[in-house]
Amino acid sequence: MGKKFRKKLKFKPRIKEVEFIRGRIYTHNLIKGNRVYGEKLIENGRLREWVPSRSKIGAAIMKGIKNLGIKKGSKVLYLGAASGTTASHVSDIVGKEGAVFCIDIAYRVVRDLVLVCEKRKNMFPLLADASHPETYKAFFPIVDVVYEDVASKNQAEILIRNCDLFLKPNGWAIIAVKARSIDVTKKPQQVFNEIEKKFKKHFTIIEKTKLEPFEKDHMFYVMKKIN
Amino acid sequence: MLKSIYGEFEKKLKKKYSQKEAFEKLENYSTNKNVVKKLIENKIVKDEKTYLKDLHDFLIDFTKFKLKREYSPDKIIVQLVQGLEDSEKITNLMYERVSEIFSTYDPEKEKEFTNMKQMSEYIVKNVKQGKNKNKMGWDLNKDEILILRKFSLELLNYIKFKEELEKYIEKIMKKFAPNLTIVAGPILGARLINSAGSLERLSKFPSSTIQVLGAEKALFRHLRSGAKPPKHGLVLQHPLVLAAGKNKGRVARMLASKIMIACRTDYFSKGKKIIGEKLLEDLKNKVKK
Repeated sequence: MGKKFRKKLKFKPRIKEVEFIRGRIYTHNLIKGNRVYGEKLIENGRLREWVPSRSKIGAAIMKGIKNLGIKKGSKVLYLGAASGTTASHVSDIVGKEGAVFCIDIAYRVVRDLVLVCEKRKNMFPLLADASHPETYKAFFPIVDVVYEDVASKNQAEILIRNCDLFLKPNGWAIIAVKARSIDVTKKPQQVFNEIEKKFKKHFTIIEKTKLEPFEKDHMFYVMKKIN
Repeated sequence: MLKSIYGEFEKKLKKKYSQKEAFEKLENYSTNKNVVKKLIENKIVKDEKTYLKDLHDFLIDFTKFKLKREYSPDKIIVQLVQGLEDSEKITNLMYERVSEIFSTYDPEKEKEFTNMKQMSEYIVKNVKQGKNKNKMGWDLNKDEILILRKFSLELLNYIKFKEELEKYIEKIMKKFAPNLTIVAGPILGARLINSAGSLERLSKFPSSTIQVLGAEKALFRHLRSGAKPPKHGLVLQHPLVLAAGKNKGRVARMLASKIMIACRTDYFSKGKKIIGEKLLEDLKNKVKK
């Protein structure tokens, strides 16, 4: 899947924080030689491969997205972190100055997540329900970026509620919308149109892209909060 | 460390707690205020950086504590039932191979056995080295016979393990879901919990769903293309349904409704109230008619 796509790829991915070598993307490893999910390491473990078929941000970068709010030193609230595959790359990008607050509801994946977080000092695990942000409001400070990757029916509402409570004005809100988990019967484009209407009340959409060869019927939105 | 995290919260309660108690309280603590900002303003914490340093260790402890509290018997039951299904597959595979090797040695004897336990016991006891008296069977050499014996010994051990597993599931089910165990039987009950995910979810299902649980493929084929709906899923394993002959569909429907009542009593009375025997008797009387 990725191989054919890499051959067709004509432009360089445009995100500064990510290294691009021979059709693959890499992040600077926070802990040299550390491996999280069996990915490839190069340059003596200094760079860690970001597998786009396993990570939606990785897929969006491969699709040539220009803006990604996540920068060195930014604080990220990560909803639906699962076992920390993508979250570990986000923690690579933000570096030691930044922080990634990882939230997931399933106990099975959080068990793996805790082990990843124990090694990486800028990752913070929490077993909580993202649709009730007031239960973890006590712990986290105001953040620069909210990223959501939750395959649930009320995806949009979860993002809006979390951004209300945690995101600073003019902060970035990023979401991977899965059309199939919102409504299976409707056509994906119709679902995206409806969800965009909801977003436009709270955010300005900077960029959007389909994650086509990597994920089916997914749309990746990068947005900014309207104060 | 804890103080910087929940100093604000502790002040509100006007009491000091141990770590475990504090975690328990914090689990149900919800707020819309920005506590971190307040902690810094009130000079409980120096700045955000030191706060985050504390938070990291705290959240790992807190999450570990929460994970530990996620325990419930049905999560174990789900794992054990899947283990049982796996071990069934494994024993069948091993039996196939053992009987295949044994049939080259003694084809007539191999045909006599229908039970894998009996056959492997026979091989372990009686198949010894030496010349083969059988007219058709091949002469296997020393090492090959040894391998056959060892193989069937392994199979025998695995069968014993499977029986132990079954017994343990029975024990845990009797304690955890007594009514469901009486009405459906321990293994079928555990399988139902497995395919629902947990006893909580099973007890929220309508009886029609319980009836076709395990026949999802047929059910969705029916919903999509209008083929005939399935009459029974996992419920088919129940002896009453198996003995029903042409009325399998009807008995499955009645059994499903009784199972529904049983697992609801189990879930909401937490296994204290026992009405299973009455339900089963009701069901048997209905089936007789």
